[in-house]
Amino acid sequence: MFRSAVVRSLRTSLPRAVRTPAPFQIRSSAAVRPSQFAARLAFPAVRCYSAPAGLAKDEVEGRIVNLLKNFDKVNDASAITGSSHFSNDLGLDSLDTVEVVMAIEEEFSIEIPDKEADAIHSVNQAVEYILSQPDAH
Amino acid sequence: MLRHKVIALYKELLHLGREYPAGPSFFRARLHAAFAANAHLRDEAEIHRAIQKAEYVKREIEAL
Repeated sequence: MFRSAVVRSLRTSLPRAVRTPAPFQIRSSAAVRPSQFAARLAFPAVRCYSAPAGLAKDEVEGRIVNLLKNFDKVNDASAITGSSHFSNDLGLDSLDTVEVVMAIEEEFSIEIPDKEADAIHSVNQAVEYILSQPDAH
Repeated sequence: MLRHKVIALYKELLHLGREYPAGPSFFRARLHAAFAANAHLRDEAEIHRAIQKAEYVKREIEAL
């Protein structure tokens, strides 16, 4: 009932609606379009979805420090800073370091190859590695 | 070379340990102790033997 009423009213109103503004529409669109294009091209911060997210250094460092704070083998949570060395400052052995690196892999959803993972011994090095990875999140 | 192999084994075992019945933290502590107990090994043959043992444990856990 309702649908047929809508269809009927559309059918009666449509031809009128289209016929009258048609010449005006063509004229106006030709006048408006160039400025619209110019506005869109001038807009500076267009970012495509495939572009890298671009993590900030502070954010990466904060997340790694947080992750270390939750790691129960760190004796002194107040000692964790952006420049802490895993074994010298935090008292972790090489196996703990492997675990920390695994946790970092999970945190940033990347996979660190064994060779590079073996070279990460401090928060600084971890931050640098994450920043150098375009697909870290 | 052997070092990388041991670290890879450690990672695999850690992953496997997540579903360990007594809990991952229990498993992690024991695994860490087991690996640390062999950290002093320097003789290649002995390290190979330890790796064999770890592989065996890995298969046991997989079968669990």
